[in-house]
Amino acid sequence: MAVTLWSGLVLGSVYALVAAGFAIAMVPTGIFNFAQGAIVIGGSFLTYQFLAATKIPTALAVVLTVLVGMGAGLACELLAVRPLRWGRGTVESSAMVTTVGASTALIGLLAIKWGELPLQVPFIGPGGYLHFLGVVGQPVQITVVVLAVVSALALEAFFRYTRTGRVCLAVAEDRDAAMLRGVNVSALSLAAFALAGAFGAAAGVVIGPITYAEPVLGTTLALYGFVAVALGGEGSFIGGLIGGLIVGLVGSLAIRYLGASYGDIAVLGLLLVTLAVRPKGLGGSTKARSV
Amino acid sequence: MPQLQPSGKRRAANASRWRQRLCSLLAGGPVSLTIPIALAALAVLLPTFYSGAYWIRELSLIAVLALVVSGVNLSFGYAGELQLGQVFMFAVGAYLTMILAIHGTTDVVLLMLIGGVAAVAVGILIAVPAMRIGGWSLAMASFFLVITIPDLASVFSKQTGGLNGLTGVPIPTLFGSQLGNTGLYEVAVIVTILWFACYRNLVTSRFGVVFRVLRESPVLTQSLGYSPSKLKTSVYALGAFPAGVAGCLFGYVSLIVEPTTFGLTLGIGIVAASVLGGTESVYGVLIGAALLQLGPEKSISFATYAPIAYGGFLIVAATLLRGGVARLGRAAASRALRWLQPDAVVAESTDSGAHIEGEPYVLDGATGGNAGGNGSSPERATLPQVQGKRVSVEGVSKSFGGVAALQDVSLTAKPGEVTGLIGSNGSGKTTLLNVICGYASASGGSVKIDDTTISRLRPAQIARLGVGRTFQTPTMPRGVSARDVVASGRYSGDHIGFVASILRLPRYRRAQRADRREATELLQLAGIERFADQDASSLSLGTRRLVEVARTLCARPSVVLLDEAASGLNDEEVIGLATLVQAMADAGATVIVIEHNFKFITSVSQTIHVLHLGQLIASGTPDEVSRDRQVIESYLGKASGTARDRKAVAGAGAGAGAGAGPVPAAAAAALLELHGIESGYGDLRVLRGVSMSIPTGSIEAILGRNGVGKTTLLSTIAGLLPAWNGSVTLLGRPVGGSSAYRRSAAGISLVQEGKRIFRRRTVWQNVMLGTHSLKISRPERQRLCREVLDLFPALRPRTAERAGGLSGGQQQMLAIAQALASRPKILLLDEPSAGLAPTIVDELFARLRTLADDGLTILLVEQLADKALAIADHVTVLDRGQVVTSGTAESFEDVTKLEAAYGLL
Repeated sequence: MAVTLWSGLVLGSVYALVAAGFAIAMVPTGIFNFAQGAIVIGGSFLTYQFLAATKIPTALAVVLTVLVGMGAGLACELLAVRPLRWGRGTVESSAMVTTVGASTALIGLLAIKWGELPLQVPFIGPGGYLHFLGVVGQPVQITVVVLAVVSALALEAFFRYTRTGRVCLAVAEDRDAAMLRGVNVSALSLAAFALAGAFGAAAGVVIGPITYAEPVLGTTLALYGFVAVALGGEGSFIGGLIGGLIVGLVGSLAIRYLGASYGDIAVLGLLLVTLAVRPKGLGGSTKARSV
Repeated sequence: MPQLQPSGKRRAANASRWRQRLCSLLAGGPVSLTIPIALAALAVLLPTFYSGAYWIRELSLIAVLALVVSGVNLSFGYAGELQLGQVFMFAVGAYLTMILAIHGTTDVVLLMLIGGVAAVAVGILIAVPAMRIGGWSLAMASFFLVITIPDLASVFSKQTGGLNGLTGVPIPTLFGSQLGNTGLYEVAVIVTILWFACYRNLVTSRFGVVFRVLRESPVLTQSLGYSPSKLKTSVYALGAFPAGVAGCLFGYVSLIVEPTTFGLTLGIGIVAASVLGGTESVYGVLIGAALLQLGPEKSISFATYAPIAYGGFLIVAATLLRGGVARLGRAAASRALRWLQPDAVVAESTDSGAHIEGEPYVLDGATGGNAGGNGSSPERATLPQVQGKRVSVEGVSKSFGGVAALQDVSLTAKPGEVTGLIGSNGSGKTTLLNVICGYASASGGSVKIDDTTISRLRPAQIARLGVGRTFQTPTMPRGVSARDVVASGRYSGDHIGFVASILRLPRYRRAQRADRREATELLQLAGIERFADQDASSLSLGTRRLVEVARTLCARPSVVLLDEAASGLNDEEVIGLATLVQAMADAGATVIVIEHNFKFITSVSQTIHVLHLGQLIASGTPDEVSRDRQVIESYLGKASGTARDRKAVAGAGAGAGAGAGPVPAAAAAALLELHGIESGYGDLRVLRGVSMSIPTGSIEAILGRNGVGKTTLLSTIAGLLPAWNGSVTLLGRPVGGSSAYRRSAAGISLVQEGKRIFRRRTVWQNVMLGTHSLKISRPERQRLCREVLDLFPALRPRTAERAGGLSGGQQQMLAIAQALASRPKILLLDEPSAGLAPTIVDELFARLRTLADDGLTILLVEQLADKALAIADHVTVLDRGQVVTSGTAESFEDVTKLEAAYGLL
């Protein structure tokens, strides 16, 4: 049982990290960037490339990965979101189609470069095993859990307590009013997507060793991350963390006690129940809006 | 010579008839049916002269995909929902039918039916929760559904063969005899042709229009008498049917059903194919399906690059192409049309068309448009008589939260009369209208239509009682001609179901003829028949309004409610509208008109009721009402007290330690200059050339009735709205090219109406946000915030409270404090007194006077003139987007000058 809980916790932290990436872009712009999942797994692929294929120093590998992630985030904003503001119709609903398109294209690129089969991604930290509480854990797993918790808390604090963070929250509340007070919402949108991309790629560096690098995971991670957001409330980092952990545990328990095929089915069930019962999710959201 | 002329003319006439026929071919009229019929015949007869197994199989698979993609066209193209459930239903169809086949049932027709019905059942099951969640959640849930397909296959691996797939598919039979590959191909082709015929019949019928309305606006759908949720469920069910049928055919053609076939790549590919072909085009589906099937087969590199192509399509389609490849084709066709017949009025032909079969689609090239281009001189035309119903509003009250929008309002509207309803901002006119139509429920009192109380009824039900209304913004679905928009008004009264539409039963044809006839009559009456075949959403605002009124009339309503129908119309269009209104009343209907345009409403109404702050303050004939002092004061405020107020405010200002009264205008330099500003929203021109010059350290009051452009003016100065013409100059430097946030940094600070502060942040955070554009250190920022808050003692003790918890007056002060925190050069205030108690307004305005005396320039927009006049140095009055009169505040002490400027006399 402990083993199941641990693996649920670890995978849950993975989803929480994806959910946090969603929130970073969503809070200041109101856009849910489906391509975030692709960026995360892209970070894993890059880590594989830099550390396993063309071996370069670890620090450099991480920096490069983060930079490419930032670039991918910017590309999403410029190509999939910005042009929508010039046309008519709501941006949010069209952004659904364009970010799904961006995700598909990105995953296609990943498959072209690295193929469809899963690749083993080396971990930048130590290997080995640790025994605690009846569980055998790896350092990479502990790293992911810690990273998920720390980043959720740090991001929540950033958005709530710093001046820039509060500006973002204000933009989320009323874009026009923020513009009138001198906030350059256009630049903010770019910065938000860039940061989300950088964060996602960085997360991919530690997620890769756990999940292996596989193009199809770009979509799977995005979907599971979405369930985490739906559970935790849109725009809430703590909510995303809790939501992610719940998703991970539900999936893990289903696989253990029902069978290997029941993981996805159980999480789908969780999503439907959440949408039916609490469309706004568990945690508070910065902007109450139905997804 | 007389003999030559007629034959020469005949040759010319013959030539022009050929050109006309070619035109109607390109324009997509019924003549063009010959092309698809020819294609269909070719497809069916293909095996008689070609027997290559490869292409037979490929074409079968293209037919299968075309069936699946057409279903997505319905749910994505018409209902507007992105969902991949189509793949799931395709899989259900394939697995279910092939399992049945392996167990003995092999008749292909029976299996197709079973597959279709099963898919429809799943579609309805999905639709019910999907309706509640919609949008992103629906899309994501459908994605999830698709990724569980392999898992479900594993779970039921005994029946489905698990991840290895379902093999051992037997040979298909048709009514007992076995089918070879060719036979299966024929079945596939014929089924596809049949489905497309039904699909085409459906989307070119009324339902094409109704679906487009559904995509655009659920509110409008209800007012046409249809239930959006029932319609959406039907769309999902209809879209699912071909997927199930396709599943059966797919199983027989590929001889194996594997879970990996039904993945996200296929799902996205299907959506991309739908988008590429044009989600509204019947024939684009085939192009998309062909590419989807042949692309990966023909080139390995296509298969590798396919996801990038699909993703790119989705991005490009959502941003640029609204109608996909088919639309480009149509655009090229209309250009060809224009070249062929330069005199013709070429409508932007729409695929829906809703053309009536049997009636030729005639482009009257010779006369250059349809008859009726002489619509500018409307005769006193008549509408068929209706049985008008009496509308009785009895003691209706309505509150939103703690705000009373309506308080105990009672009035009656009689059949055969035009009843006008006027009132300044916040008077509750639109709330009352919404209560009558069922979009809001009254908190107290009741509304009766004849003797039926309508309080429990939903909008669609009230619409069916014979109540028609127009909306402030006319919503026209894209891709529907003006004639069809007008005709849609009669749909609920003359209801035709899916089956009759698809099969084109006589009942349907009769209804279509009536649709066309009545719509044309109404368009003629309104003087806009020349626009009948143009895409309604591309027409000018004035014309769209008239189309909307015509649509309302097409339902032959007993009660007609017009919500600000005259706004944005030019003089000619107003006359057209007045004619319609009069004709409605003459026909016996009860007409209720809500308006800002005084001249219009006084010219058409028999009785006028005046609302003010939710209460009825006057009723009577137009003459009586326009002379009623209370009415005038509700618009102007108590202007009689102006002189007294000025002295009182000056006294209060001196008491607070201000300077020595207002700065003489001549001595101060111009801070803000406007020259010939024109702007508006969409194609609605609001400002028609406004110029003014505002000196530093003065208060400029901008007055006028609601709807004249005061808010538009402030929004344009602040940069929220782009100016179409003219210039805005701050201290000599033009700011017209800067975006809103730059203008704020340059010193233009706008406080919008409605207390738009950040409610979730604290008071302190709100003020700090105001300093955003200043590049100063943190301690300086804090000092500035404290200074600003000192100006508003009511806020000082509340700095840690959430702004949402403050009272209205405090929120307004916070909004102004926020704007002041950026150390602006000019403060723009949009109706700061709205919703505030008079004493608070006095306090606030005294504060503003003090600030002006200290050097701040203020542009104050107000509807209630008295308070503004008390503190202003200079006054400008706007009407219909232009400056009507301006002068020093003292010159407006004569009340009649102001009343004349407001257009009340």
